[in-house]
Amino acid sequence: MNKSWLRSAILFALLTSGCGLVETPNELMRAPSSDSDQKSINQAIMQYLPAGSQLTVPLNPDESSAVSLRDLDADGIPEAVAFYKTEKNDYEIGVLILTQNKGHWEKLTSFSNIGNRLDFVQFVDLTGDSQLEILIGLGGGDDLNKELSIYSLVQGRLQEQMKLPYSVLAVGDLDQDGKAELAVIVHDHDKLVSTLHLYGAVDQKIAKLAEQTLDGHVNGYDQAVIGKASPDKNGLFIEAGLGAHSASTDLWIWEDGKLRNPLAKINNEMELTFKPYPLFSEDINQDGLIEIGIHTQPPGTEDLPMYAIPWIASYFQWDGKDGLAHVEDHYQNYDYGLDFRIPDKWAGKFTVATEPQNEPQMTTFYYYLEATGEKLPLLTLQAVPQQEWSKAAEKWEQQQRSYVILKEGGKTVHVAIQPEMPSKMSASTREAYSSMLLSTEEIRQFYRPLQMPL
Amino acid sequence: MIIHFGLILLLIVLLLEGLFYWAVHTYYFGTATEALVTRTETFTTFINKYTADYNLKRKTRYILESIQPDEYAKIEVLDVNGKLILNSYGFQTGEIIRTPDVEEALLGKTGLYIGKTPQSRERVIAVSDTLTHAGDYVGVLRYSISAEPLYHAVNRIALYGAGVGIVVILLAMMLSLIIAKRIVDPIEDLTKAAIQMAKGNYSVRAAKRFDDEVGTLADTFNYMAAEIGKNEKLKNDFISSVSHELRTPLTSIKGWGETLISGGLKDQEETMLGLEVISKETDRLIGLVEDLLDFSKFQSAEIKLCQERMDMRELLEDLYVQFTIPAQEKQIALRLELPDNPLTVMGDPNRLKQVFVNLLDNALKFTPPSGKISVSASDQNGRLTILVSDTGEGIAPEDLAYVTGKFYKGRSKLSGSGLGLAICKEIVQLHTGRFAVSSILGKGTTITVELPLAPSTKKG
Repeated sequence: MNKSWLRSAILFALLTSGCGLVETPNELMRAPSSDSDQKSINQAIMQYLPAGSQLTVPLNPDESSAVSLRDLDADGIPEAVAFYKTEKNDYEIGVLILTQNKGHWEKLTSFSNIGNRLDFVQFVDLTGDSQLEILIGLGGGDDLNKELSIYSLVQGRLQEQMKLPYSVLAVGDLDQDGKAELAVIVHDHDKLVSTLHLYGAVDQKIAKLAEQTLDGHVNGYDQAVIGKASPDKNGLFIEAGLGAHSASTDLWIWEDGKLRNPLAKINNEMELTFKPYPLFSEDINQDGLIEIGIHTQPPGTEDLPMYAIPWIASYFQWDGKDGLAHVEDHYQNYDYGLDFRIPDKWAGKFTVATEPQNEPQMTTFYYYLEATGEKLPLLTLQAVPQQEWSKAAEKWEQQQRSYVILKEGGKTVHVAIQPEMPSKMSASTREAYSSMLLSTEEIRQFYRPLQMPL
Repeated sequence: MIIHFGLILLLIVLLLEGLFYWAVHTYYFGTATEALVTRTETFTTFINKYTADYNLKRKTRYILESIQPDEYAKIEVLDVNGKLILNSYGFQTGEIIRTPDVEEALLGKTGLYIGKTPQSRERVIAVSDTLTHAGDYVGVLRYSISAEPLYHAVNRIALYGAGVGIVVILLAMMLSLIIAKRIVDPIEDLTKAAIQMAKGNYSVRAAKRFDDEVGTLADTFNYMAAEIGKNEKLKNDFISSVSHELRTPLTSIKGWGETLISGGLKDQEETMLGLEVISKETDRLIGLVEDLLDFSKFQSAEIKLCQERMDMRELLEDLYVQFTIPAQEKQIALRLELPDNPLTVMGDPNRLKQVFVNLLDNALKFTPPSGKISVSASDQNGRLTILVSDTGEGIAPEDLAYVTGKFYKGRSKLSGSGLGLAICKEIVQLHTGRFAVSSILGKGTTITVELPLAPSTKKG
């Protein structure tokens, strides 16, 4: 847009009006003042950082940020903790802590540590003295060794309490004593040895509560989470990768001052939580308990190769003894980011089919008659690329197919297409089939975009 | 009028003011928005292109590490639900931002929003763009700046503009007042003069203030007033002279009437003389009244000519015979010069006779004894020219232009309506002829009557 005439006109107007107003729009551009607190903290931090430094963000957990306000010394006034990288040294991560003094931010302390990847940061009280410890996990890069440092603020100075190598770690109240514990899993890839260390507070100090040898012949450990395993028991869920692509989940609970794996395989039985692909434990149904995900194979797909099977993600809760209780099933498509919860009324009577060759974006759910192997279509989910959407919609309009748009933005449009009523059916089959069909509201209720990890 | 003008001026200034505000607003916000959109789009494209394999968290870290220390805008990274992952100050507040720009970005477009944020009363300009990972939308990159300094600057400039506008209005009003005064005051003078004149005072004159259109109008007005004044004087003179003319014969008639009554009609000789005088004076009165009637007919263009082919020689010869006796009585030599060929014209014989009777009457009246009167007619280029000249007292040059006017009697004390020459001129002009008077004071007067000759082909 050519605005030179406007510019000159305004310049002329300014000159003739005889005032000294010569601020150009670019000079007037400044950040909103609504977060002036954050801005002033940021400015204070920048002032204390070495020249050329950049703030950096820990990768884990998701909620972590470059600057955190935490009350480290339990005086009721939060301190600001900032993480930074210096320009001249790529293998050093710096930590700067500022404290508030009469409304001003002043440097309390700073230190730097070797490492080029800030993997993990958490502020948690591990000693039980109601002062927060800083847990900083540094790594050299993807799949390389990582090291956790635990710091406490003692009389205005940071003291390193402990240094631990780790593969994955989890913080949470495993022994249900009201204080957080730290679970560290170390996997030695060369010696094929894996160990789980549990640290907690003993006499206001961090001490090792337990040590447990884990399966060392795994590929690696991907995630550890401490959360409710049953309504009255907390558990540590550890995700291990096995072989080429399969995985399993270990559940450890604290019982009688010891760690116990209630789902441990007996002898050479097939491991209960074995799954063909990784499926992380999570609270899928928002009931406060963590569910263990295991892939199950839909009926009628026995002849398909592994990669072609439309796996169903089944979620189980620990039954409090040595088994698992089924909670719910999901169909999750990572390629197209869709997640469809299998309706309860389909349980045991359905199957899923995809056509990876012809229609890769299409997934169809069927009413599966086990006796005959007959399949009657219940619902088709399709991820239509944005640019093909209008054509596809037109086609369905012409065919008078009823469809439900589930997600519009993004690379693909997610749509659910109601099936055409099969013509030949016995009366009893028809009744059972009809009862399994979903209304538009039900379809919307069961669908959600797949939550990709950040 | 001034109020209307002021309103129009105010309207124009307001309109221009509005335009000015719009232009300044467009310039400031357009430039700022453009800069912000360009930066957002460039940075987003860069991030999407070079950190394609990074998930949102890693992209966020990359973005934070790429922010320049002198960055003036606030940069935010949001996830697909609008939740704040990180802002350029390094904080994660977890607040949900769903302003229109974010909604647009979540649909894969570049969103722009100018307005208040739900969190504060501050107006911001925010631009959002979509962060993609493996082709799908994973988050939003949002640039925002405060719009308040821009509004402030625009308002300040607009305020200056308004000040200039007020000055312009005041100046224009003052100037127009001055100009209006120049126009209105002379018109008011004219109006006053016209009122005076309507009341009969023709001596008033409108003052000419400026040499402009209104000044010219004042001049013309004054000229008109002068002319009306002259006419008024002429009319008054006429009335007094006509009254006088009417009274003289009436006095004579009344005198003789009373003499005859008191004489008891016994002296027959005296009675006869009295009656002759009464009859003569009555004739004079009739002549006078007929003159007046004629004139009024000419004035209202009611006169109709009974034109016929006629030889002017015959008419002039008749008149010559008629006037020979009175001329001899005054010892005046009357001569008539006529060509041999006929002088045929299309004319009303009675009217033309009236003209020459009048002319000869005048000549006799104003020529002292032993003077000369000559009448000559000649044919010149298809036009008949008749000259009636005398060796009378003549007419003063300043009066010459007025002798053919109505009621003009010159300085002569002799009797007459003052209409004679005016009527003559009217008659000649009705015959499409020309009537001219030339005179030298004390030497004599020559009156020229030109008439078109009738085409000879029509003869027979």
